[in-house]
Amino acid sequence: MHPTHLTTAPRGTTLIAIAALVLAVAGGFAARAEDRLRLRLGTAVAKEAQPKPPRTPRPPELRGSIAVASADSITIDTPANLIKKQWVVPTEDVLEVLLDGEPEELRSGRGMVAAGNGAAALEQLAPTDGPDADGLWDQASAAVRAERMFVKAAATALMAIRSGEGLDAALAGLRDFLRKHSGSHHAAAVQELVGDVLVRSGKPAEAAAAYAAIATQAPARRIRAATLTGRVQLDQQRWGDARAALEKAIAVETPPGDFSAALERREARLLLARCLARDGRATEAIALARQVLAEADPSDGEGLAEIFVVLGEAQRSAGDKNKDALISYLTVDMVHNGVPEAHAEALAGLVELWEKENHPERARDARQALEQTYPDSLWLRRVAPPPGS
Amino acid sequence: MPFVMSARCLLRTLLAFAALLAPSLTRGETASEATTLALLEQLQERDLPDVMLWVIERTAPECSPDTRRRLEFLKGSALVSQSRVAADAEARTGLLDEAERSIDAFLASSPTDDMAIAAFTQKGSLLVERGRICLALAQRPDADTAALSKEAAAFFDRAIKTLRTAVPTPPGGGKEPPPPAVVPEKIETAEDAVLRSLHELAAEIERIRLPAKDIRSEYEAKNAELAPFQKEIEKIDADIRQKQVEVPTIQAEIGELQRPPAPRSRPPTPKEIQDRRTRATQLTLRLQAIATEIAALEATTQKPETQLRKIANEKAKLSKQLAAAEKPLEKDLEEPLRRQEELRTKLLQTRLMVAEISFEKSKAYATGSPEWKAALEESQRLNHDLAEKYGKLGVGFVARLNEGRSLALLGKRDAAIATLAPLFTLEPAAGQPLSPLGLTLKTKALGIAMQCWLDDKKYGEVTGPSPFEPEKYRVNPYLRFAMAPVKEGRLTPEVAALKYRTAELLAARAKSLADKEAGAAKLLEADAYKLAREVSTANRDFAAEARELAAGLGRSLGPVEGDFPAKLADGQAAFRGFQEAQAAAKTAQATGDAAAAAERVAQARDQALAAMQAALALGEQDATADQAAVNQARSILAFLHYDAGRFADAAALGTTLVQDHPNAAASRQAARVALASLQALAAKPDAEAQARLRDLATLVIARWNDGPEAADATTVLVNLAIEGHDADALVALVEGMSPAMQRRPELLLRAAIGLRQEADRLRKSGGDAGRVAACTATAKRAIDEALPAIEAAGSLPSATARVVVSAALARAQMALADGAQPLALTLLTNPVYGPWTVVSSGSDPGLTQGPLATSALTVALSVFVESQRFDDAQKAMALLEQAAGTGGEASARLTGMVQALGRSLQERLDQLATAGGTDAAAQAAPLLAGFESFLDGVAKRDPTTAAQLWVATTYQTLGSGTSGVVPRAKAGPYLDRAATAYGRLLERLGQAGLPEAEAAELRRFEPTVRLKIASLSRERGKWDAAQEQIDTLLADPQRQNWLEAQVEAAELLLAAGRAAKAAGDATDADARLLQAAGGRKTTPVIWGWSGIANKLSRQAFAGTDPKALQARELFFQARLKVAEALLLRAELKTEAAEKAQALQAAETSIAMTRKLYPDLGGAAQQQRFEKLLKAVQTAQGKPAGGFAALDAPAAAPAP
Repeated sequence: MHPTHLTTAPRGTTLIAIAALVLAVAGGFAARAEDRLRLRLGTAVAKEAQPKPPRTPRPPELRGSIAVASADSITIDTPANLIKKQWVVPTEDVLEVLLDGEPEELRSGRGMVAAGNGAAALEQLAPTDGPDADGLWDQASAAVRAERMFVKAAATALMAIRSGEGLDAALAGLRDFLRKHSGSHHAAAVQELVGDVLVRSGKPAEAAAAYAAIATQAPARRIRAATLTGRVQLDQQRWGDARAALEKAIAVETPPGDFSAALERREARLLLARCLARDGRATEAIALARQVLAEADPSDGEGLAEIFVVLGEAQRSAGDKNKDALISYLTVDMVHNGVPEAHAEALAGLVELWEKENHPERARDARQALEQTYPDSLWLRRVAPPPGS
Repeated sequence: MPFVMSARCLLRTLLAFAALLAPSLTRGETASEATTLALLEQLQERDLPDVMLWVIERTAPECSPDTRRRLEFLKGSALVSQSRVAADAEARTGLLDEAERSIDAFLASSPTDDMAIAAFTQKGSLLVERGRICLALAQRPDADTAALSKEAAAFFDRAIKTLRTAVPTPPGGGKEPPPPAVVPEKIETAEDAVLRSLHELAAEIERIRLPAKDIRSEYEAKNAELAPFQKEIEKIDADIRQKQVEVPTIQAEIGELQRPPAPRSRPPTPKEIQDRRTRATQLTLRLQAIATEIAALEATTQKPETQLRKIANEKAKLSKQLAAAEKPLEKDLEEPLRRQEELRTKLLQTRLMVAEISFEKSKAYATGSPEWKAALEESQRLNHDLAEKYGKLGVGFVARLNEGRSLALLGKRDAAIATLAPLFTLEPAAGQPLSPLGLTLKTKALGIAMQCWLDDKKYGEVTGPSPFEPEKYRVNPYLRFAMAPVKEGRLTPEVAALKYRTAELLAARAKSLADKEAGAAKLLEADAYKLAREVSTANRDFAAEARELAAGLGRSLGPVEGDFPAKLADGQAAFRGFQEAQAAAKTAQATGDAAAAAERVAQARDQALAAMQAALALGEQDATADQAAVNQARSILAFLHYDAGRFADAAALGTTLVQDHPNAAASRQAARVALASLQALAAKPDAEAQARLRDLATLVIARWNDGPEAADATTVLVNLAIEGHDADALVALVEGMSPAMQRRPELLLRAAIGLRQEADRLRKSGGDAGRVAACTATAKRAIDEALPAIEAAGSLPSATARVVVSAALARAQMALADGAQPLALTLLTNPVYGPWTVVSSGSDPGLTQGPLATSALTVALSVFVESQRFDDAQKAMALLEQAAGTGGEASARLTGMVQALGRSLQERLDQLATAGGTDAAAQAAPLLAGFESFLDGVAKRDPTTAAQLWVATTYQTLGSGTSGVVPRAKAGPYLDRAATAYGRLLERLGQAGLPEAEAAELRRFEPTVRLKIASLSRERGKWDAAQEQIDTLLADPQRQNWLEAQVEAAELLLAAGRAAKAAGDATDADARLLQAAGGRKTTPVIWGWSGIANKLSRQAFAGTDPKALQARELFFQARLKVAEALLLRAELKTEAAEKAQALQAAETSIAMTRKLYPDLGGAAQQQRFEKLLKAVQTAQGKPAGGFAALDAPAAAPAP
């Protein structure tokens, strides 16, 4: 599973959530005795909660007390809210849940998990696990203790996926969480992680089953489950199967205004474009990516990063559109560089394409940027060594 | 010229600012458009204009009209940036013109926003650049300076018109104030655009301020009330400053007059004393008068100052009221006010630019000319207006400096000093350092002032009045400022200028001092030296001048350990020295002084190498060094290494540039040097160098496919493929060659020639027919594409004429092979590249001789004959004879050519046989008929040796052909005609009155001719005629040992014997066969086959050289013929015992030969021997067991 799916938010908005979390913690809001739901911008519930959005868009929050939490929705009582006193929010429309009384280390750890950095997440939690922290968790609420378990299991799984070691233990941890907290709002995310660990363990069939379990009645979930299945097949180079799964994801009917589902569909379409590109159908891939681009919000920099990096791959696969691919990757590098994974991929693309276009100096610059900015990235390992080395 | 340099720097800064004026671009575009515009902004910021141009080219078609319009402007900006790195002035000019077109296209859409300001400014900048390029071109030695300068001035004028809104000349010769700026209806200049924006902004601000309008009006009225008083006070201040300027000079003169005479000098006369006193009194009075005037002026300030204070107080109150009223509006006003300030700054910067362009324009005219003066005065006037109007702003200060600079150049040095004084006397506020701008202005202004004082010999401004007083000198503020060491960073150009000018001034002052002031002079010189050393050590601006100045002071600063730029400059100077030495060497070759000149070239090259190596070492160590300059050093060094024969070093440097820095300006040249170096290394041969050469050539083509270096690289690859017999590589080169490749036709032809050779080689070695056809087809395609391009050029390129003609000939031969004789004729006679045309016209002396000419004429002859163009054929024949030349070897050469024609004819017949199938004979008929007519005609018309030889040899070729297209009924008569032609030669030898040269030639030919007649007669069964020629030949003692004649004699006897046997004449047959095998002992002696074998035995086994191998082949042939003769003789025997004995002799002959020489001369000969043996065995009544029967163990003797 991609780390940014842990909070059910797409990659870009997750980063906003992290930044907002840091700001919130710095501002002392964490000390207030209330739960908070940070809502995904653009969703119906966010629009309802924030009828007059500020000039700089910021995810709105619902403050109060969580009454009921399930894998599908969270009900929060908001006595101070002028619009409504109780809100039922689908989990896919929630960016983050901030619990009353959770320690800052836990919030930071969760942020690290959302950023895909399992080691850093455990590092954040470490002080609360030491001898000085005796009794800290005993006093915490059950919800907070469940949150701790989630962060630890997810962080361990992320580390295992990255290193390929300790996969069984990671899987056990995730399943243990699901067994004990099947109704957690993190359930879908953990289920996705289970699938990712299984993929890394070389068990794609079992992974597909795990992903399938994500699908509920919510269109966003159904799209996501099919997309993940398509992704596994894409990695296995089963182009036909992958295409079918992704087309199925795209075909899921969604009610008008279901923003979360729209985001999931966009991801499915971009993955389909990648699939077409890798299957030698570059023209179709480019057309699809361009179609997604035509529908994109000009202010959604992170979404645009995803689109341009896919467009770059599609153009590159055409063989005779290296300059177009360069422009797409440069767009990611210079304009929409807020998504690390996309940025690293774009830099890797630039390394190779600049070399092909007889600009070894620029290729060197791109390589240097990749090495310095993303030293642990898989993309760094994928680029060819510099000529003459 | 420090004034010019500082102005340039300033203008560059302003232009750079102008280039960045492009505002951020977001106004409701689609995501794709918004991203494109944002990307372009980033690319502009990172100075990647080439990528900007790609982006614009690829995205513009998909954008909305409004975005496309803006892209047009950005394209112009990108082209301007691109022009800065263009390789030469021509390329820069082209890019700037294209940029102007783009910007004009944008401006044609009548923009009114910030982009309009940016576009007009950008256009003005690029026109200035165009003007500068013209001025730079005018500096070239062979340039039309007047025309280029005029063009430059026109560009500067256009730049001014683009930036400045034309204002009517103020009445009263410019003394009246200019009319207020009017907001233009139509935006036609940068100034218009700014004014329009300002106007709109003012309206917006007014709207926001409406609630506080009244109080603001009152405030502004008060402000207006204040202005005249301020102006009056400023005027009085200026007058006071003007008066003060005179004071130091007067004081210095009084000091000089009051100084007592030196002890050893002549005492002054009473009149002199009186004059000095009078003058001192006058000066003192003048000083008092000035003091009085200043006091009076100061007094006049009291009234306006009082008024000013009063109004200022009232204004301050109103200001508070206004602030209170506007407080609630602050937030809304914040952005418009910021923007207003920004636009005002832009307006002033635009005006400053206009003033600076006038200054630039002055450089287009001869110094001192009326135009030069007018341009400088215009610049001075514009700057003066700005300085007066905005004296308190940064722009005003800069304008003041520029004004002072122009005045100084105009020779108005006092005015310049007065203008610059407020700048060079700038002092920081207490406890504060001077701002960077203030420091720069002060430094520049003082530098200009220093130059003025130096020119006017007013040294006292810096060194103090005479007599020299060290204490006063030391505290002079200008001197202290100039002498202050630079604490951080390098000497800037303006600081270097100031220090150098000060050093000059001090040195000049020292020189002006009398001998008695030697101590003072020493002090001044020491300081001058100190400053010169400081400037020299920095090794930038004025370093060379500083060294010269030090030398003038009797001291040497010596060489300075410089940085990379300095070392590079040294290296470049040394390289220029090397180039000059090379040019001198060329001249010296004509005058016969080549050796000494070559020595000087080598020395200059070694110096340049050392200097450039030192520079590169520094450049590679310095991470901040300009990479373009480092690469330039690499490129020059590569060339020097190459020139010095250090090919490995040259190749390494050049390869580095191609591999790692292909976009450096010097890399393409370096690529050619590296290719040439590796070629030199690979010529040894060196497999590794060859591999590197191939790799580099491939990389060069991958890097660039449109320049001379790619063409060189392709040539290398073609040559390597030909040398390596790599037909596939040649096909790949032809197929993959870029359409943009320079010299593409020539390269295609080179590859095609190689391919055809490879195809022939493959065909002859029995290679895959499909591959042969593919190679041939590619070669044809390449030639068919290239030749029309050569023809279109109208003339044959001299450097590649041989390649083109060879390719055309090859193509003609391929056409003949395809049966396309008309095409072959067209190719051969093409007016530009036709091999026949080129060789027969003699237009290129290098192509009228040698194998290419011979081949061309041979093929042409054949084609002309086939086409019944006998006159041309005769001409071709004559040219071939001419090509054979004269002298001892001529006959052999001519024979060779005749034989070549024969082979060519034979090949043609073979081709017809192959292509024609069953119809081959019919297809060959016109060719044969053509040759018959031609040869018979020649034989009749031309009795000369050469002509008859042609006829005889060609008929012989036709008669002995094996292709099958010559009917048997015709072959014999052809041989007869050949023999007749040879016979005519013998007859001609007997004719009286033959020219001696021809007679001598015929005598040389006679033995060969007789042998030919013998051979032809033998083939036609005319034994006696043949024998007559053989006997005549061998009767000559000098010819008795002629192997070929002996072989022919033995052949004749064997053939005649066989014929007699067939005719039933056993006696004659036996006699001839006996002689054929064993020879004839009577005179003339015939060796026979046995004798021939004996004569050859030693040579045949003496070695493995071609001669020995040839002898060995003939040896075994002779042994075989002996056995054959024995068998034939045995067959004649009627007595069984005799027959058995004769057959046994034949078998023994074969067995003995085999025993002595088991391989029997190879597989083919073995088969012949065994076949003969089997015939013998059959005749013996034995099984035809061949060699196996000989090898079988003999039956054990009966016990």
